[in-house]
Amino acid sequence: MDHTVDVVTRNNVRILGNPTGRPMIFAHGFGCSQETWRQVVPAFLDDYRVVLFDHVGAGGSDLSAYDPGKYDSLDGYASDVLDIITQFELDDVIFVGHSVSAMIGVLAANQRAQSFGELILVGPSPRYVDDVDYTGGFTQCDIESLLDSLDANYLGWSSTMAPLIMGNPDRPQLGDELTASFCRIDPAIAQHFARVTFLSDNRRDLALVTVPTLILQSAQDVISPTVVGEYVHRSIPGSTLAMLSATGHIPNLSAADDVIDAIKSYLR
Amino acid sequence: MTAGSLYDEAPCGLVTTSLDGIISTTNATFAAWTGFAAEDLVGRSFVQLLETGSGIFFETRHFPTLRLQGDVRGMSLTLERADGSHLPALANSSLRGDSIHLAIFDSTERTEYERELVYAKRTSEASESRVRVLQAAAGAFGSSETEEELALALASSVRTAFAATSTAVWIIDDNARPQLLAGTSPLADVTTLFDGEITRIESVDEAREVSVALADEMQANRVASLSLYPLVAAQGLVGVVATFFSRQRQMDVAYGDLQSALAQQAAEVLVRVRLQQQLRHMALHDKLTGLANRDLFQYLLNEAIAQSVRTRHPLAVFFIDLDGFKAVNDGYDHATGDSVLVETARRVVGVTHYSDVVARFGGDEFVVLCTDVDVTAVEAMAESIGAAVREPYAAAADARVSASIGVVLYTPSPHNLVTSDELLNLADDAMYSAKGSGKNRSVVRVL
Repeated sequence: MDHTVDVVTRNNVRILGNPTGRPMIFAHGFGCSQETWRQVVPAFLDDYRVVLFDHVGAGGSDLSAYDPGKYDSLDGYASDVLDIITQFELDDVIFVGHSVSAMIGVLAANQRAQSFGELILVGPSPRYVDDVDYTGGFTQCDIESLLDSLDANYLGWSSTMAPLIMGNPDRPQLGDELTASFCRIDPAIAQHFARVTFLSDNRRDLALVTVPTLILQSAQDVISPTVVGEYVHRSIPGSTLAMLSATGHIPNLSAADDVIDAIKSYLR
Repeated sequence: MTAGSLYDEAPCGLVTTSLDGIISTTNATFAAWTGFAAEDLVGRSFVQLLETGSGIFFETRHFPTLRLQGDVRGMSLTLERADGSHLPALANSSLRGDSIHLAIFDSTERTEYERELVYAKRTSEASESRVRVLQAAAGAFGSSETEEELALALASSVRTAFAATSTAVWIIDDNARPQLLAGTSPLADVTTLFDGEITRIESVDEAREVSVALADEMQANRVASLSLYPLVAAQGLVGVVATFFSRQRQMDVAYGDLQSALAQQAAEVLVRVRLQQQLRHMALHDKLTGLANRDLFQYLLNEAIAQSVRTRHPLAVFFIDLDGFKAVNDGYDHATGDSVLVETARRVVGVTHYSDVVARFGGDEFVVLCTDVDVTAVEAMAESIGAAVREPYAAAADARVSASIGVVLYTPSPHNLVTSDELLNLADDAMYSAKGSGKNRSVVRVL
């Protein structure tokens, strides 16, 4: 690790909970920030040392640290996770990764298994695009249309944000400005992160996992369908698959209690 | 008009869903837009009414923002109708209690306009970024003075241009072997793939068709795609730039064009840098023997005197003039004369130390600079040089060549300061004394 890098600033790292507890890292998925864990985290503060962070490019991270070459693959993000583990000397880590961060956790754990105690993958997908003998749920065209959708929305985004930045008095008060920043992302980085997330293929990495793994699969997840969750379960030796009654891709926001119960009963 | 008909006939689509996105009510306008009966929409997931890319956006961006913020305005969505056609729409949504309320506006015209804007913006951004990359590269290449600097500039330009995980640049050396001058290669044996052609391997599976070992090495070192691009100049292959990706990448026409432009620029600059290096070398070295020339010797002697004054360590200057060389030129030819000079240079270098400087001063005169020496060492050295020069020359078997050597050993002190010219003149004087007293000998003067 490069010691001149300030990991805490780069990844907006926040350490909460029980300082003597077992470390538990929560990693957010594509599209938002560590805020997506806000309803889940309180349930673990008494017993665990909770580590929250933003991927570079998202939330409160240091945008100037965005090196497109480094972040052109999930390996770049995985190396940041390892930097955080090194910086805070964490071991026996419980890594909870949602969406794309599930695979980022797999890559980090494959590189340094000795630091990890458990992997908890929420809505994981090793490859979103269909392939011969593999169903990811999407075609290459679908991903191109997502990129169109991002562009269409960032045009709108800039037009609605402009009055806010210009201090238009008709715009909402301070509280809303703060919440607006939760899912703030630089449009160019969002485009690249979308490509890297949805066009990566990490299927080969699943078989190499040696850390005990729990897969949480919600019903009707259009981003990571149940067949993909089952594929991940089959591919990671000795993994456990737990079906959530929640629906949708972000159960940590839509059904936090479900997610908390599933994690707690696995760790018990 | 009743409240119910106002709801149903509103000029926008109105939808209410559960927090999970399951539709509980819609108005008639929305149902008509989608082409489904209103009662068939109830119980369906709203995201399933969206075109796929828009659905991904809705789930990953819209949903968390709505949950955290409570309201989202002006989100652009694309509905997929019952007949498969698409309806671009703008949506405002609010989270109220256990429900999400959406107001949806047909934005066909605006969206078509925006789409054109987006495509125009992308095209101009792509060409702008290409120009930016090439301009930055031209600047960095142009200011390179050595092969290493150029290789570093190329490696960094290529990494930036393609968001590559890593890049490496090899320059072909005088022995036709590739030398890694910049970057790192995650693959140990990649140089075996250099064949002067463009190599593109987009996936490990593709590599497996070429070589199982390569595919395994790629996998072990987390290389998903790679490309090798030759740097070609008029004289042939001068280098290779390799680009490695940890993520499987498609290398399309635009990729190839930009890589070719960068490689061509770099190859041209490399040729210029090499030429300049040769010129610099030529300006300071004797063309025939490859030894330092008079200018370089004088420069190094000045440096050595300054150093010697600081350290108080003595230095010595040898002035060597060949005896019998004129007879070689007269009895044989100039080419033979030249080969005797080359051989003499080789022999003198052979008996001196690595840190000594041997130069050709002109014609059949050579000079040697030695530092940190004493009288004994200097006399021994003069003896060795004399013996080496006396050996027969294969090119001129009948000739008898020897050396008259004048040496000045200088120990600096504040009362004893000299210039390089004075030292050379003293050594030259001593050489004439040696010549005058019968040649094939040396005269040492201590200063």
